[in-house]
Amino acid sequence: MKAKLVKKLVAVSLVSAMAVSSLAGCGNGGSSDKDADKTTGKDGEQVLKVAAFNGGNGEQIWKDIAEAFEAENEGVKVELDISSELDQDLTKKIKNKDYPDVVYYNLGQPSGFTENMLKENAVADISDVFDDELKDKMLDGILDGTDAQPYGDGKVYLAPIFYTPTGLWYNKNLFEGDQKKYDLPTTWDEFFALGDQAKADGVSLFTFPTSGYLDSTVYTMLEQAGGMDFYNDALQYNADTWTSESGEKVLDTLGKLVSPEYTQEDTVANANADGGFKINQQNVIDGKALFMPNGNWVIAEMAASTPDDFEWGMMPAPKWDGDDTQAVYMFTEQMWVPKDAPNMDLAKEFVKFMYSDTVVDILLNNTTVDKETGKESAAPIVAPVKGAAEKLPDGTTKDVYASTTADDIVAVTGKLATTKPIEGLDVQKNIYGATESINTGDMTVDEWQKQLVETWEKCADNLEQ
Amino acid sequence: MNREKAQRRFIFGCLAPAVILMAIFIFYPTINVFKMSLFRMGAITNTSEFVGLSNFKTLMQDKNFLEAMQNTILIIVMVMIFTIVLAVLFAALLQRGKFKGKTFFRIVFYIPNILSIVVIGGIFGAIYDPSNGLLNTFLEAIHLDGLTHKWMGEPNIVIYSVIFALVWQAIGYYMVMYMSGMAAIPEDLYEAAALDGSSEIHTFFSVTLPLIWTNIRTTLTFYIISTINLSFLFVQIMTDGGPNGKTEVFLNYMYKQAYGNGAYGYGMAIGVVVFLFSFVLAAIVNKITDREVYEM
Repeated sequence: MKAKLVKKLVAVSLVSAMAVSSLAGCGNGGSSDKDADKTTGKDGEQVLKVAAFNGGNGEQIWKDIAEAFEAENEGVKVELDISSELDQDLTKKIKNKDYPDVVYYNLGQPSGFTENMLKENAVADISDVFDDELKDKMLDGILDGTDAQPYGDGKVYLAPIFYTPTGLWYNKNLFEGDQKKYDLPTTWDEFFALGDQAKADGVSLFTFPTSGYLDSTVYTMLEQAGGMDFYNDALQYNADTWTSESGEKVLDTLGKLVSPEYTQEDTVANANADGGFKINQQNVIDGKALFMPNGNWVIAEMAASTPDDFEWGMMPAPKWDGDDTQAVYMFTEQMWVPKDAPNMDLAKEFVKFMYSDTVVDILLNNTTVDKETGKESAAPIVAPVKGAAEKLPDGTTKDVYASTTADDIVAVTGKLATTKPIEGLDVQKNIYGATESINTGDMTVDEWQKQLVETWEKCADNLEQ
Repeated sequence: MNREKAQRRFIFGCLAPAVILMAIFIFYPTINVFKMSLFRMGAITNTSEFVGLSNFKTLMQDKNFLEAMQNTILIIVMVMIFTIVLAVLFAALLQRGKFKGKTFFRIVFYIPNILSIVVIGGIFGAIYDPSNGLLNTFLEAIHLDGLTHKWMGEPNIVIYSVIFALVWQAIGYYMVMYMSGMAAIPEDLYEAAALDGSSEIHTFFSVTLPLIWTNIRTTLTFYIISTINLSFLFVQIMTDGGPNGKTEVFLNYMYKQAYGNGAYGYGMAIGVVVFLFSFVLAAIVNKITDREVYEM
């Protein structure tokens, strides 16, 4: 009987071992071989792994940059990993300890990939890339925000490689030229008065593609309401942010703006449907709503359904009576180096290279092909380097960049500071998702304020470092 | 004795691959989910810290989770009721009814089941669109303007829009299952019922329904499991939980917490609760639907 049991056990273990070993072949087998040539390719050339998110900018731009980097650095081979599901690909690789050297993936994506890397302290400090010479070359203040220094500790972890001014986008023909119908408002009072005027014409004042697009509006309103110090404190979760006079001013104004009184009636329904954000954007083109928060990527995004005689315009969010300046939010896209990157030095060289004249020109000459029409159109990208925006061809995009350098405009950068992961908290939903409930009458501004105070408190308790 | 041994070996050999695969791909990951729910873990790097039952404590006070739970239960109940009623009705009509084009309707009802979720998302996007959508345009065309709604925007309606899509997709599959049950009912039972002067409806309730009861019971467990899974896919494509959490469901919230929020251990704790919830619910449903089985 005993012998039988032993036999059985042996049989079971043998069969399981066989199955496990054969299945192991399906996994990341041979990783030790891979590890050996991780940093050096054939003929001793150094391999730099660059992982880039395939968003609206297309793939070609990364191929051109890689080629240029190889040309300037002999013996270096750039291995590109361009993917529209980069977060998922990299999560798998990083779990298997296969780290890329450089990653281009923005903050603020729905996957929260870069935020999670920061929360897990897995991003390298790259302050030394930005020596005095490079700092001089870059736009003033672009490295000071929490989107470059996510922990607010004076160290740069995220390199802002592209930037775009954001604001409220509108149909320029309605405010200028022969078909002019309305005056462009500069204060909130004028803005809402325009809303009442437009309503009489059957047009809504405002729409938003999805509630997440309101982030830039909220950021600029915070600066506008309380000044730069108030804004910076708010991003570091100052407890008084939303109960202060400035904070309440922001909430009341935004609450009024997203109410059904001023926001186009289909906005929330479209914002939640698959691809519905484009319908909301189209509503501005079609004249159903006057303004929406956006960036200049919207021009290329909506090109296929924009009439030829339509002209885009962008203005900063309005100011309150008595303010001298208006604020524009500079949306930046980030590149970073994982803490465990195998080629740290070369990775930093690559980040630095992103600000070289060669790359600045490659970016400005970028083109994209519209998937629906197959039409190729110019889609210049601007590096946050002094003078880059001036090289743009004449047109809406150049005007938008130029308008942000005016004396009465304050440029605002940054994102909410990085916290440790907080179980059960959805910061984006609590700040922006709530606007949908205000629109549908499911939540009041007071309830929103209370929710924000609680959110800020939780985040402040969990700030990294 | 030898023969018995050989037979046993043969059975063992046949079962081993399945058991091993189950152990590796189902039992081991499930145990792992339970284990991971006790840790605070990063979503990307392999950092972890043991926190005991802290994740579960947080979960019980998490309003977003409770809202997701409420929504999921509503979806399961509504989808179950509507799909059973409609699927059994259509199955009975197609199996017992006497009209032309039965095969055509069978195919038509089954088609939604083979469509990919992305396509279904697109279809319902076009149906529910507030300005140019099929539904509102149709209602306006027949002068029922008062019934038009923002199907994907109104907080009290949006969950029913998702439920409708789920029911639409599920009917065909369950209909085919019930039809196979009905096909096994001997014709002489119907003949006897007819001779006794039983009406079609009476026959349905006293012959058809009792004899496919075992079928229906089996499908109840399927409803629970598949609705939990499918509601995740539908919600991800159709609303992503919006507006402001009104259509949030278990698994979508778990995914958002584990990956979007970087609280992987917490996500696994949600997984554990979902696992236990579906298990317990299936057991309860199984118990309360227990009836004497009629032999055919």
